[in-house]
Amino acid sequence: MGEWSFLGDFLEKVHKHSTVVGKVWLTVLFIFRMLVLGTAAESSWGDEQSDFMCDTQQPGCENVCYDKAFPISHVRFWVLQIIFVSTPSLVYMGHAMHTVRMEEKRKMKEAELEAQEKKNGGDTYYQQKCSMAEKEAKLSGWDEAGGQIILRGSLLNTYVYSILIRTAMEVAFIVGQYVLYGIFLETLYICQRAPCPHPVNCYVSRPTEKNVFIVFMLAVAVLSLFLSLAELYHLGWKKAKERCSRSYKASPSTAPGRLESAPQAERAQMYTPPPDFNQCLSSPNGKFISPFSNKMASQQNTANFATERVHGQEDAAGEGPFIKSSYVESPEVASECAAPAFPENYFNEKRRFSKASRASSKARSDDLSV
Amino acid sequence: MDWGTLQAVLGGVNKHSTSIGKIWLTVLFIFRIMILVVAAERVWGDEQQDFVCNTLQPGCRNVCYDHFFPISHIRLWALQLIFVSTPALLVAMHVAYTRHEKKRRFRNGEKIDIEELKNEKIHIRGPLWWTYTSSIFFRIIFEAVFMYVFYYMYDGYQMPRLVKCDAWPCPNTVDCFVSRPTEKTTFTIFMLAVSGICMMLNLAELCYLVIKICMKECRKTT
Repeated sequence: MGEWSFLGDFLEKVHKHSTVVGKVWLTVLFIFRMLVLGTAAESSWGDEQSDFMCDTQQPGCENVCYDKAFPISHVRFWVLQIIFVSTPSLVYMGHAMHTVRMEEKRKMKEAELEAQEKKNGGDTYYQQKCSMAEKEAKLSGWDEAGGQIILRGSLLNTYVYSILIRTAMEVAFIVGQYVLYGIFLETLYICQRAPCPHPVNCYVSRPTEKNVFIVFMLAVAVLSLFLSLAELYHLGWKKAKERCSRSYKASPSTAPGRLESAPQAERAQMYTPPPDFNQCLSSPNGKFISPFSNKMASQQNTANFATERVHGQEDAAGEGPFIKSSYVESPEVASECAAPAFPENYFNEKRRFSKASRASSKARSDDLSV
Repeated sequence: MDWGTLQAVLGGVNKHSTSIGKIWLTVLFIFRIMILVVAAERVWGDEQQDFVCNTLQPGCRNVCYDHFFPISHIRLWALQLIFVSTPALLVAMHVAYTRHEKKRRFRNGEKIDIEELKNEKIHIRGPLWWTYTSSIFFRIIFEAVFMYVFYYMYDGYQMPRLVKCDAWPCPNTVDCFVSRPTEKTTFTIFMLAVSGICMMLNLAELCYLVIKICMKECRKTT
């Protein structure tokens, strides 16, 4: 098992940032595939060539017959299968680490900007920036408190693609094994190949024990396949449910109350996988990202909002909904930044804007890049 | 072979690499070193025992095996991996030297936060850029050289099933049969493909570094 430590170490990290089904899949991979392969199957196949006997004295005939019977040994085939099936998870991990790194860079920039702002003495502006920083922290998929990566946006897409590729690899290898060897190994193999003078009988070593392991590894591969499909279904179903509930709740009234209860429920769900998009944002509509991708515009808008508060309620038609959207997460934001006060009709109007903003959902992936 | 030591050393270098460098390192460990240790060593394990020659002449088999396999694939791959990993040690040494210099300045009275010094991520610029870039260049050279050595030594990348040998003391041209030729060809091509991928990654990293520095220079001048 020590030889598998290179892959094992990488997969440990993936384990931390996977969904529940993903964790089960990884455990199955570690225990039922890697461990069994490393300890039991290797010793069973250890003498596969030395005890492959052919009924001939012709030198070289056994070699060529063994080569014809087993173009690639089962054990090596399974090693390749494990490696190729694990690779998509590594790609996802790479993306997750990249996201974390971008998040750290963004935080550094924010800290610098805040330090600068403090020097310049812009208090209100600092508050607004603070709230925006919090929003961006939420949106980028990194949970400070838990140190976990929340699946959303392009990270979720990478995760889904990695599962799809994993499933495809699994199927390809199962089919490949069937094409190469069928399901069971026969005891007798009849071989006709130069320099064997005529068809010779060759006898495979330990066929029954090998068959037991072949069936076992095949069953585990099928189980892994089902787990991958279950995970896909789970992610897809959650996403569809999310979209349905969003389109249903876009119509009136319960939004303020919902905003209050949502954070608690969402926080509770935060560490149970897969992505519950409700936890991304305070509103059921997760498409407020587009304003944030343009920092200058949102900064300008926050300044405008502050001005509006000072001068009374002027509803600037163009900027109104835009400003409201940029503040929508504030109730949920952590305590260190004071959220600005909201006018009464704020949430109703926000919901109207939500519908429109759904069209610009494409900008979402930009939000993860810094 | 104890590859754990190499992993420990290269793991440290990983922190100061570019993203492409990190991907290269992952590919190196999982698709090359791991495959070598877990799979390839087993395939080549009985290469001499099961090298069968159609002769009763004592010594003929030994001589023929030695003639056709001057250095086993496994050992060549191990050497390749060591040579290809070594340039990264240059980078590690340079980083250690930079840190040492900073510590020295700290001891001489300059105000540097020692905690920050330990965890500081050293950016690839200045003399470190040159060290890093030359390490990537040497990596590419070593990969290419080894790929050529394989091709030259074994006449291509396919393992023959039958080799004809007439080295002394074999009395005449004897047929010798290689053990597991198909499986060996499969793994040779696999390792070749991964070498190619690593070379592409190194080339990409080199281009990325060069372009980055050019853009920086352009921005400075404009």
